[in-house]
Amino acid sequence: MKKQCVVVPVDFSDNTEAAVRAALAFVDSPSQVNVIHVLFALDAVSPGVVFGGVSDESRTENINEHFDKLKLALDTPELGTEVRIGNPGVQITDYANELGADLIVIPSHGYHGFKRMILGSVAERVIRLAACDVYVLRRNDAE
Amino acid sequence: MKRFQRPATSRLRFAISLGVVLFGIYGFSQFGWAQNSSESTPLVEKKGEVKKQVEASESDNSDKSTKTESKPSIPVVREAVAPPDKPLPAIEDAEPKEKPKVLEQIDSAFAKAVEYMAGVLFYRLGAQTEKFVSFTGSDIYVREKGSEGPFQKLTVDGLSADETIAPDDLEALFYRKKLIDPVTVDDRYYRMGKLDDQEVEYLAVKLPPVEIGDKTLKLGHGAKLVKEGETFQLVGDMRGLLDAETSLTDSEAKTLADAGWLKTTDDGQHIQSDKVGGAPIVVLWLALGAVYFTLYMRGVNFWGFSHAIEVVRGKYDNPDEDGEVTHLQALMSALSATVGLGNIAGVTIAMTQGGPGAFFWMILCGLFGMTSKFTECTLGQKYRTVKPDGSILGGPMGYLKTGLAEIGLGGLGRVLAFLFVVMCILASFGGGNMFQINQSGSTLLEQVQSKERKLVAELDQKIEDAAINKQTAVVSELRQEKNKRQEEIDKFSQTFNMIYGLVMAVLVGVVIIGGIKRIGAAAEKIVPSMCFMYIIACLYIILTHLGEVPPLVGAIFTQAFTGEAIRGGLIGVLVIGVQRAAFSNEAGVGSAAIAHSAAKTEEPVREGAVALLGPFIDTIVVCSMTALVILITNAWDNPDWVVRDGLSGAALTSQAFESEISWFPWVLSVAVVMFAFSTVISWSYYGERCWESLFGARSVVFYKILFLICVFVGAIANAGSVLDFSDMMILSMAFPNILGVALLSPKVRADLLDYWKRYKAGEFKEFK
Repeated sequence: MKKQCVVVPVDFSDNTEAAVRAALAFVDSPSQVNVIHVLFALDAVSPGVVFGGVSDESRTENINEHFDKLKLALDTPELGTEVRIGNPGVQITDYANELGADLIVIPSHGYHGFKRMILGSVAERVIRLAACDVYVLRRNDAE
Repeated sequence: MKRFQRPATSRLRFAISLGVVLFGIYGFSQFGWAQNSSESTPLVEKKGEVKKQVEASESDNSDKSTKTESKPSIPVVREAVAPPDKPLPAIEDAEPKEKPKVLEQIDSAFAKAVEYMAGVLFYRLGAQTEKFVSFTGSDIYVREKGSEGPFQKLTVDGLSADETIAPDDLEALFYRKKLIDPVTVDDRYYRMGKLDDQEVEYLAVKLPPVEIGDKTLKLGHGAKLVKEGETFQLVGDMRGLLDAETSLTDSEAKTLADAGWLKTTDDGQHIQSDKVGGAPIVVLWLALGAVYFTLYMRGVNFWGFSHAIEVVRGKYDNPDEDGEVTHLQALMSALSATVGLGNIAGVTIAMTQGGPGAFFWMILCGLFGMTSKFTECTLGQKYRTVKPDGSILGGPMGYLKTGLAEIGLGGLGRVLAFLFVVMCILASFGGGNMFQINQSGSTLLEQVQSKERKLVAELDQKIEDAAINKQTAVVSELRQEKNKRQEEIDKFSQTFNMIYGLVMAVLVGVVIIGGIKRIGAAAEKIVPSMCFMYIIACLYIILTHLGEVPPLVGAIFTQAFTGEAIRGGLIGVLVIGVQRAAFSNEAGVGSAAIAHSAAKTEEPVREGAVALLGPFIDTIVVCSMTALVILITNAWDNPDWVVRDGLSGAALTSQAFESEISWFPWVLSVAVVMFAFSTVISWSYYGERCWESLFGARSVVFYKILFLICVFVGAIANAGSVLDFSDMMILSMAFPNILGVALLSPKVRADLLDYWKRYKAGEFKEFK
């Protein structure tokens, strides 16, 4: 089943590469795959913000460096990348709508502890808000 | 699996040192030096609460002028009385009890829960049983219910005809503080009671001095006499010190008991007992932990100090290393959380409760605490997570979970991490938030209202004088004025607290939810300058009294070991010093590791060294300044300030400063508010990281909302239990933290020795 435009939300944990590879299977060319990372709004009380040079620009720069590493690892320099700041579920689906994507590929879990106590995961939010198909990747060591 | 091999000699050394320390603690607890006041040392200065242990029986009434309109029925100076052979007939109190409102019921239920928790977390090891008696003798005057006539004195042979109190005299007696538990509703003063099934109105009047044996003793109602050696001795107002002059032998106590003048337990015993003294487990835990770490890290707090200064000055600052801030910035961030009310109010409380000796133990706690901080912050760096956007997540939640899993204790690690996180969140609501807002608000309020309060105190004095001289017209006029002013003060207080709470909540909210970084940044940067100003003021006082310092220092050392300043003795002094210092510098508690893990470095030990400076600056510099000022101005031993005015904590510090620099209290109030604000903001960061590790980053907004609610509630709350509870949480974080850190300390030691070897070999690249 081929798709024209696929969006892949990533968090640079162990399942990131697997997710992008899964997405690549749906398309003819890597340029049709767009990875997105969503950052939370900056915390004004963290030492980094108060004293140091942590800002949205510096964070975005760091993420882009990670994207470069990802592209190198997968040998897909044409991969689309995007960094957004805000609520993950909303930002991801907004981005998908903007691109007119016809598929979102998303891992089912991020990398936080106490997963079952989380008030709704990003995957669930994306499934609910998405306008297009959503392909949820289960972990191999599914809990 | 290769375990870390300790060379045999240092293992032996370590074992001997630990054994000596443990034996020392055991020895102290057995020697019966562990005595302390039976009331638990209050952790905080409660809003407007005055602790009076003994009411003065006969105050200086004998000096009052005798310009009387009519002779008072109870003469101002009374002759001593001897105890009767048998007790008076019992009178049953029949005052209607008010049904507690819902809020009060919740408050008392919560207070019970807090008491129970304190019993567990602050369980005192080495407590001794202390015997005591309570003096409850009083004269009883009775009249039939409803009659408007005089009150007749109750004797063993019935009601006396000639010893009476006229209704007109009640007011004078009340203002001379002769009545016990008067009912002030409707200015009634008498209480409802039942005598032999007859309904009566009665008065309980304080006794004059008691004649027993060949002595005359002044015993206030409710006075406590504690068994010390062969006799029961009176507990005084200052630090629970015993008055050997006012004492009872066993037979004398029995005589008083036969007269019905001592409180008896349900089985008719007049000798009661109480468990007192010892040291709370958490204090021992913190102290032992600090000593253990210092010994195990071979005293890095001494020889690592100069290196720490080098690092903080930026010698090894490499901008390419992972992290958010430089070493200096991380230190400032941690300091803005720890420098707060503990340095200004807590130290004063330690001095008033423990005398100069407590200061010595505070310094020692600061000194050894430096290594606790070193160890936990090194671990925080070692097991931190660098997120993809470059931000850092580190601290006890990291090292307790990951570090302990590395040495095969993963299950324990998860439990400890969970405990730590829960207590840290609660501590961030309480000690890091409500306590700071509450105390800073009340300090500011007192400063603003000080003139009004002085006026009311003067009016009180005038009313007392007029009442004693039975100038009824003057009395009612003055009382009207006083009541009006008091009402204004109370209304103003209420409004002030609400406004203060709202303003602070808005300011804090703007920073933590609105993300306006400028306010937070401004506050955190103002703290160093306020600190500096405070130190200058302290130095001024110290330098102008330089001559008094050497004998003071001598007193500090001798009293630290003899512990004669307080009834608790050596252990009492030690516990007070350590508890207040631990609360102030948070060493061993784990919170600072969260801030320090944000530093830019690949060498965890380097940041640990920087963390050393925290307790040094907080306790050994700032707290010492406060302590010296309190000692030099003798504020800790000043009965006028401590007993008569009931000052303690920040209010007493303010008074001490005022006696030397008249305008300083204003500066102090502003400084206190700034310190509180920066502490609140910093602790919100700790609490957020803990919340995030439990519930995920997306739910942090709930934490922030709860946090702001606490800011507002902290300003208006008067509930002592809430504040006690939250301070308990800060100290209790030490339980899981020190255990985990101790288990992981071999790794830190290995890293430290390796780092030091490389440092000495000149392997570190210098950047400045």
